Amino acid sequence: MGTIFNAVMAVALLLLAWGFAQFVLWYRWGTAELRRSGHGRLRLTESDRFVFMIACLDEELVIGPTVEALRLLVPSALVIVIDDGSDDRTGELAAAAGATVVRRELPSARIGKGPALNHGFQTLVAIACERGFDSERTIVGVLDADGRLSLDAVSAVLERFDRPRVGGVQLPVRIRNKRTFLARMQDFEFWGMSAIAQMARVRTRSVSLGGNGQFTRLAALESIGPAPWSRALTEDLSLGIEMTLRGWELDCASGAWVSQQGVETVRALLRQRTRWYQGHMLCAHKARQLWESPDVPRWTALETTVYLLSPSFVMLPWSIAFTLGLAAVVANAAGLSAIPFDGTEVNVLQYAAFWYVLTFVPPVVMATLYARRSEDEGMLGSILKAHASVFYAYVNMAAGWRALGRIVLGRRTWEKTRRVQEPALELEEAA
Amino acid sequence: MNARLLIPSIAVRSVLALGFVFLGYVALHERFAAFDAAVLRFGLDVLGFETASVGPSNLTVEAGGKFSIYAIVTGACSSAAGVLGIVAVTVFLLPGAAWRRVVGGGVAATVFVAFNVARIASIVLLGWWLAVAGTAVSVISLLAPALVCAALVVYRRSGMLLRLSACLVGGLFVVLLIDVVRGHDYSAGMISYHALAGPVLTFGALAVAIMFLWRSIVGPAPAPP
Repeated sequence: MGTIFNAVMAVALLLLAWGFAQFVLWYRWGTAELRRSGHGRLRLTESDRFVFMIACLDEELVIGPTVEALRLLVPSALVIVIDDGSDDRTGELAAAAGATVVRRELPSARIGKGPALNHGFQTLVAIACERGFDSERTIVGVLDADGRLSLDAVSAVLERFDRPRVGGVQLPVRIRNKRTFLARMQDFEFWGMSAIAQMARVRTRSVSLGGNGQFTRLAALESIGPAPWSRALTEDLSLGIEMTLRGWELDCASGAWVSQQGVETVRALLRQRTRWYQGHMLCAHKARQLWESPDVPRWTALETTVYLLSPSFVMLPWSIAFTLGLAAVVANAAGLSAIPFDGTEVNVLQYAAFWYVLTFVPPVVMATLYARRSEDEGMLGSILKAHASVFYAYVNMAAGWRALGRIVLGRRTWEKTRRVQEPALELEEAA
Repeated sequence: MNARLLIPSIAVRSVLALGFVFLGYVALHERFAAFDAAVLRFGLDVLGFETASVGPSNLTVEAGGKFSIYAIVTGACSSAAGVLGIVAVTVFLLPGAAWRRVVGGGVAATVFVAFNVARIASIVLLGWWLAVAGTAVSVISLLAPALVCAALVVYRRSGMLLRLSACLVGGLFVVLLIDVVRGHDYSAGMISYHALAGPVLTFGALAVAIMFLWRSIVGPAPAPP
């Protein structure tokens, strides 16, 4: 039994060391990027075009204010709303707010966000031809129906696209409806670790594109083909990899952000994360193409591979090793067993201290950054969130296992995240 | 089962890598322990200790009349987990040119073994120091680095990672100080050091080895755009 336990701990050691190595690189590069980045200074010129595309299915609760906010922020922008066969008044409200609405009908509707965006892309290309848009200077922004850009988002994005090799720019994400514990934890996750990781990946030009606050150069989309977004569950991740394979760099506008609604129930969170992990795992096979392509720098390939490995190599095995380690500490503290650690019965307090340091210190480090960057969260609250995040991670672990199960069973249905009605004041502030 | 899982995907590579570490540890941990013990004994002999082998991974270490211990290099204490981890990552996980992986993995594994033996030797050296130095000298020698660490923690220009490391190392010196002040028992200090510093140092060394491996495969880190 002791040997088996120690063998599990040997696996845990590798996972911890791998994760820690990734954390150190992300922290060092991410904080350097954070110091370097400021608010965008570039302004739209005559030749710059912004086109926003929003794929919608039953989004009447949020779509109107979203379009209005975009038109206020960038009056010259073209806003294309792809109504993916909604049963409610999504299209009507979007049109009333000033969007160009493209309607998809069943059976071609409701087959995923990628096909919906591709439908909107066809409309965009037609308009671009008709109006003579310069595809090198046309920026396509993809937002969720509840997405709101920060005031400096456009100039920050433009500044990143000033480098001609940049094909995609992602905005860090924040959560707007921080009324519940779950929503606040999502903000801690997105505006803390995820944002720093994205900023770090600026160094390797391998920033991960997301479904909200995703900006791409029209020329980069056209280089992929007439349907740039795939049918993958994470069409955003897939798009980023396709761009990388064609030699485009991916960047992050670190100083700006996009805000969105966080899900408010564990069930909804589990459903959302299951979709993300399933898509992430199914994209992992593309890692090989990155190494084979002469257009992809090696650090870009390595960083993307490490990122793609995260669910299968780190998170799922870690969920077992961490739970076993925790159970051993609890069982030992309760006097049920002696931990066969290092061949001797080590004091459980020392063992617990070791696990505490390795488990909680990285999120606590992130919490200090989060507290500094968040206007409504103090240091103590952030540090408490860091401790809660370790257990919040169990939702991700459960979602990861569920995603693996769905892959094994061949299930690929699209489970959409539902919106919640927001108070008018929150929407006005966001706009 | 879905055929997608049967192809050489990243998921399969991950399972192979982790399975290799698990089974490799079960099968080889005693051999690794014996190897590390042999290297340790050689190193301690060079440093002037009197050592004798009592079993494959057991040895006695003496220095003068004040210091005498019976040491066991266990599987968990050996370099088994680290070396197997490095081999697994090199062979199963990372793509890239084979020669870069072999060279990088070989150097990383060698450095890890050397570091691990040095870590075990440092336990012996600490015990020897606490045994031969008087209480006052021991206290001063532990207090000085603890204060340096405390200064690094509060120094405003220290980076977060340096502060964190200083906090951990400083805490370790404080624990050792408590041991010395309580009874000046060198074996108590060795046990504390072994239990607290051992896993963290092993894990830290493996993390550094992995970063070295990444770098050996892809070259120096890129500059910011």
